[in-house]
Amino acid sequence: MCYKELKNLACTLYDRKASCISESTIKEVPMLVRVHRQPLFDFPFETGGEWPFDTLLNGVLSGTDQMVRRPRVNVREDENRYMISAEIPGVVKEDVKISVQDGQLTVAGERKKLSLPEDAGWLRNEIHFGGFARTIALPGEVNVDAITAELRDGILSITLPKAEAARAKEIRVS
Amino acid sequence: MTKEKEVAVVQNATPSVVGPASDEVSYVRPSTDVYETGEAYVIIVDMPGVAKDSIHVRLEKDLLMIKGATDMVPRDRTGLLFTEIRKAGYARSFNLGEGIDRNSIEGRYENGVLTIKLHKKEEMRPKEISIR
Repeated sequence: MCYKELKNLACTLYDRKASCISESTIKEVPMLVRVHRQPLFDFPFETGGEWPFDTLLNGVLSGTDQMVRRPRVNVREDENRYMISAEIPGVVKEDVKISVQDGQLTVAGERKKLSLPEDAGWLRNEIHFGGFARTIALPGEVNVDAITAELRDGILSITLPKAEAARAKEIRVS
Repeated sequence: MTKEKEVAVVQNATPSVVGPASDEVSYVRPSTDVYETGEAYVIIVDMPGVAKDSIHVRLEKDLLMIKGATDMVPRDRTGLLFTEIRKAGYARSFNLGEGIDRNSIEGRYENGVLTIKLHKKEEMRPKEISIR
């Protein structure tokens, strides 16, 4: 079974028809129909591996949502620092923990469940609530004391200044 | 009908195999939860990376269209070590049924999550029947 089939299966399992709201079949943006598949194993310095959809699928199959989700990240560097962005929508900053140990950065936390009114009933469930964690092996040494982080619009941006040893040095040819 | 046909044509025009081309970005369908209470339907849409001002929610007849552009796609690729987040934005549409009051739709955006509340029309709300 390929990724797309698994996803479809999970969507079918999860789809309960809403009486008043249904997903529109008219796509305003034609691009909308193209599911962008992320490459899974091209992160050279990453630890752990999981299909992006695994968590949801496992949740559907086992009837639980206690799984830990792995947020998507972007990593970039410039001369002086590494910058990591992670997607964690619906998470407040008090529920995020960032730690660096043995050259690995770990972002972990929890997306709290919504407090619904008593008479509420779910019609569609695609969002994962609960724990998330991601560990990234840092490409170089960082100055741990100078790490800063900001959470805005569901994106956690972490700036890690490079340690002196990790900075590119220009070597003069004499 | 014409609109649907148009879409079909556009879909056929796109290549059937979309590889993980590194420069390709597109709008994706955001993860969405919907729940119902006695007086309203609530749609919750995950749109991380979208600034509040970039969100557009439009109602056209029965079609509720949600769209938001991100600025997560780095234009300059220097120093990019890894990108899993690379979408132009999010787009998703919903058909609204008769029972929804078109004039009292509320939207709120917080921490990358858009919440839209669609109030039910008075006649659609549950009523307590008193027993004599």
